[in-house]
Amino acid sequence: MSAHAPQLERYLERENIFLSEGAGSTLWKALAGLGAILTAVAVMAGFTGGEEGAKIALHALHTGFALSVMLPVTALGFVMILNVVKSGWSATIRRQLENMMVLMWVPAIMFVGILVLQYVLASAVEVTDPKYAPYLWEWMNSAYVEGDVLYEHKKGFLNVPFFLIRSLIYFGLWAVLAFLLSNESHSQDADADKWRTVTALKISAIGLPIFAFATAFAGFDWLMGLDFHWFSTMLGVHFFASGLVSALCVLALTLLVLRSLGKLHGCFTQEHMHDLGKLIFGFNVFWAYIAFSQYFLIWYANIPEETNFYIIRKAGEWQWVSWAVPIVHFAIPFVLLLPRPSKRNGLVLGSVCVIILIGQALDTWWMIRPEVVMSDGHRPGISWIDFVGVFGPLLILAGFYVRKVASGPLIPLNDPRQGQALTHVNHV
Amino acid sequence: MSTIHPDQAEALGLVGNRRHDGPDHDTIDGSMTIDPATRPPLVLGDRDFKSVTDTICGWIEDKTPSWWIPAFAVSNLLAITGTLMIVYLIITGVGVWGLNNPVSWGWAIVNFVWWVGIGHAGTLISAILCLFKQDWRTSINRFAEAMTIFAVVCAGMFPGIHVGRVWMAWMLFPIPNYNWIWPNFRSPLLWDVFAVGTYFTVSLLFWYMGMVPDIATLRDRATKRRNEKVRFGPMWAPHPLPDFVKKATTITLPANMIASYVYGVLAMGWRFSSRHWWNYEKAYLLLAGLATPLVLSVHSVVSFDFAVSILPGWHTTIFPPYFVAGAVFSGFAMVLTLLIPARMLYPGLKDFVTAKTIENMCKIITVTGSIVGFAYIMEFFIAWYGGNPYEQDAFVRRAFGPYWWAYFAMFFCNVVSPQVFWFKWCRTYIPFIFAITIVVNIGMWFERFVIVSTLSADFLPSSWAYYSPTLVDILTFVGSLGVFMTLFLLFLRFLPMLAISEVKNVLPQANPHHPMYDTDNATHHGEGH
Repeated sequence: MSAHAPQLERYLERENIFLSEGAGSTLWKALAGLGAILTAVAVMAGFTGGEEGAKIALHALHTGFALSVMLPVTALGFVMILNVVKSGWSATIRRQLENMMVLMWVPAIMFVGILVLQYVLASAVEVTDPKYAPYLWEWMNSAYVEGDVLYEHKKGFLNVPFFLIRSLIYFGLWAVLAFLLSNESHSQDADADKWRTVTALKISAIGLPIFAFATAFAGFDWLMGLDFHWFSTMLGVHFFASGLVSALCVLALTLLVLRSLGKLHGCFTQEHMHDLGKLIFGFNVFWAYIAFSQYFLIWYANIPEETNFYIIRKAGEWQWVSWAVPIVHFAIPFVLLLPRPSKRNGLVLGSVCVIILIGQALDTWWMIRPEVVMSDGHRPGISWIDFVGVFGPLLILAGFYVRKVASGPLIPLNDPRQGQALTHVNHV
Repeated sequence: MSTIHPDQAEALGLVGNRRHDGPDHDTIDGSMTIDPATRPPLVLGDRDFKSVTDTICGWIEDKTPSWWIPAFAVSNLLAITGTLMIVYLIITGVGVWGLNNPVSWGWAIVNFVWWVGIGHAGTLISAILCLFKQDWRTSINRFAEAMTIFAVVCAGMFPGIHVGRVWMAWMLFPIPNYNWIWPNFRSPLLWDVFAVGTYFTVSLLFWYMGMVPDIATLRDRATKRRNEKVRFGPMWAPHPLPDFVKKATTITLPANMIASYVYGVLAMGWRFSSRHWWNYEKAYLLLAGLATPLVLSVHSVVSFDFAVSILPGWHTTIFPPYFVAGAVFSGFAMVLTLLIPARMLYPGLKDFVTAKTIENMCKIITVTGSIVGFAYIMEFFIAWYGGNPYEQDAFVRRAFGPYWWAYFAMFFCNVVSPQVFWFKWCRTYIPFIFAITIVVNIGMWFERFVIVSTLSADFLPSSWAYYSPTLVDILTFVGSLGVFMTLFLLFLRFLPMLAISEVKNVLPQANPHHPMYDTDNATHHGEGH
C-alpha cells in the first residue's frame, strides 16, 4: 500500500470498503425467507394443482434454478477471464464477482431439490396416461420413451446414473475452481502476497478450457435435454452468453447499490461504470448474435427435428413471449445503452441492467416453460405459479449473495493492480 | 485498512518474492516482466518521440533494402503465374479446375474462406483490442490492418473467377439489368457480397484514416528534403559533392518531389492542429465501434454459406462463432508469419514489437485454436447426439474416410499444435513460433478443405467422387499468395508500417503524469483524475 500516493490511501480506509457491522442481516434473511416461502408455495401448487399445476411448478422452479446456476457459473468464468488477461481496471470490482461465484452450493442444493421434486410429483400426481406424468426431463419417464427410436440411440448418454454423474462433475469442477480462486483472492487480503495473482492466473488459464466443456455440457443436459429430440451445437455457447451478460448486470447493480450507500469512493467510479456499461452492452449484443444465429440457421434449414423447438414457441400465446425476448433483452437495452452518457449515469445503467435481467428471466423461462405439454396436447400459457416458481429460487440466491457481500471487504484488499484500478480513466 | 500490520505484510510479500527471485532472468528483451504489480514497457530502447519518428520514417526513406527487390521479383512472378492461370481459366472454362459433379465447389471456395479468415486479424487487433484498451496492439495494428486489406483483396478474387462466365460477375451486385433480374436475396452467397464488401470498405477506411497523420509526417519530411536542395556537379563528380567543386548546380531530387506531392495528396491537408486530432480521435473510436460487429458479421455470413444448407456436416448452429474464432486464429498466425521476418529485416522494429507482444499473440492463437477445437468436438458430439445417420456418416467419413489425411492435418495443426504455447519456452523462442504459425496457416486451409470435401460423398452413392486439384488450381492459389506478398512488400516500402502517433502515445513520457513533467507530482493526483 505504501506505493500509493496518500490521496489514494484515503480510498482504502475501512469505512469506504467495508459495510458496517451487521449490515444486510435483515435484508438477506428477508430475501432468503421470501424466496423460501415462494418456493414452498410453488411446490405446494405442484402438489395441489393437478397435472397442469405439477408440470408448471416443476418447469417454473427449473427456470429459477437455471437462472440461479447461470449467475455463479458465469461469474466464475468472468473472474477467470479477468485473471487471465491481467485486467487492471477491475481490481477493485472483482470481489463482487467472487462473492457470486462461491455461491455455487446454492444452485447445487436446488438441483437436488428439483430432481427429488420431479420424482415425487411423478408418483404423486394422478394422470390418465403414464406417458404424460409430470416429468421435467421426459426421457427419464420410461413410459414416455418407450419405443422412441431417437431415445434408443441416445440412451448411452441420456440415462439417469450417467446424468447424475455428469451433473456432479459439473458442480464439482466449478466448485473446485471457485474455491481455489476465491481462496487465492482472500488469502491475498490477509498476506498481501502479490504472487498469488500469478497463481490465480495459472489456475484460471488451466480452468478455462475445463470450464468451457463443463458449462457447455451443463447447458446440453439441463436445458437442451428437456426436449431430448432437439439438438443445437450452439446451445452451450448460448447458455454461457446468457449467464455472462446477467452476471455482469448483477455486478453492476451490486456496485451501484454499494455506491449509493456511500461506499467504494474511488474504487467504483464513473470510469468503472462506463467500462462495465461497455462490457454489458458488448456481451448483450453477443448474446443476441448467438441467439439469432441459432434461430436463423434452424429456421432457414427447416429440418423438422430442429424446427420443432421454435415452432412450439411461435404458436399460440407463446409467440408473444418469442417477440418479447428480443425486444426486452436486446433492442431496448441496445438503444438505451448506446450513448456514452447513459453508461456513465448510474440510474440509466442500473435501469438497463434491470431490464436485461428481466429479459434474461424471460429468455430462460421461454426456453424451459413451453416444454410443458398436457395429456391433451395443449401447452398452457403463463400462470401465477410461474412467478413464484421463478422468483423463489432467485430470491434465495439473492439473499445469500447479500449475506456474502456484507460479510467481508468490498474490494480485494491487496491486489497488486489496485493502483491501476484506483486511477482508471477513460480518455475518450 | 489491511487486516495485518503493514510491516508484516511487507515481510510476507518479500517471502513471496523469493519464489520468483532472480530479477529479470526471464524477461528476454526486458519486456517480459512477470511481476503482477508492474506493466511491461511497450517500447524498448529508451526512445524519445523524435527517435520513434526517425526510425519508422527511416524504413521508408532509406535506400531500398537489399532483400526487398529479390523478394518483390519472386512475389511478382508468382502473381503473374496466378494471373496467367486466371486468363487460362477464363478462356477455357472451369473445367480446367479439378471440380467434379458432387464437388462443385473446390479450391476456389476454400481459398476464398481462407483468405477472408486471414483478413480478420487486422480489424480485431485495431478495433476490438482498441476498445479493450490493449495498448500493446499499437505496434502491430497498422501492419495487421494492411495485411487484412490485402487478404480481402485476394479473397475477393475467387468468387469473381469461380462463376465460369466471368463477364457476368457484375451480377453478384444487386444492379437490376434491363430484364429486371435481381440476384437471389435469399442466397447466402449474395450476403457474402454485402458482408465482405462492407468489411473491405470499413477496413480500408479505418486503415487509411489511421494513416493520415503518419502520411502527413512523411509529407513534411519529404518536403523538407525537397527544399534542402542537393548540390549536383558534372556527371563524373563523386556524390556528395566535395565543397571545392565550384561548377555545381543545386537541384531537387525527383524522388523527393514525387514523395512530397504524393504524400501531400494522400495526407489530405492534415496539419496536426489540435482540432484535427480531436476529430481524428472521435472518428477512430467510431470506426473502431463500427468495425467491431463487422469482425463477427463477415465470417458469420461466410459460415452461413455452408450452415444454412441442409447438407450433413454443413448444417450446424455453432458455425458462426466457430468460423469467427477460426478466422481470428488464422489471421493472428498470418500476422506473426509476416511480422517475425520483418522484425529480423528491419533494424529497430524489435524495440516496438517486443517479445511480450509476440507472446501475447501466441496466447491469442492458443485461445482461438482451442475454441476451434471445442467446436470440432461439439460438432462431433451433436452429430452423434442428433441421431441422424447421414450427419453421423458425414463426420465419420471426414475423420476416417478418403480424406482422413486432411482431417488429421486440420485437427493436428489447429487444435494440437497451438497447445505448445502453454509452455513459456515455446512462446518466446522466435524460430519455433514462426514454424507454428506456418503450421496453423496450413491447418486452417485444411479446415476449409475438410468442410468443402464433405461434398464428395453426396446423397447418391453412385455419384460419389474423389476430388483432387489440378495444376491450375494449385498455381492459382500460389498466385494469390504472390498477389498478397506483392501488395505487402509495396506497403512495407512506401507506407509507415507502424502507427507513429499511436506508438508515441504509449511511450512513458506521453503520460502527463510522467515525473519528467513535474517536480512535485504529489499535488497533481487530486480526486478529479
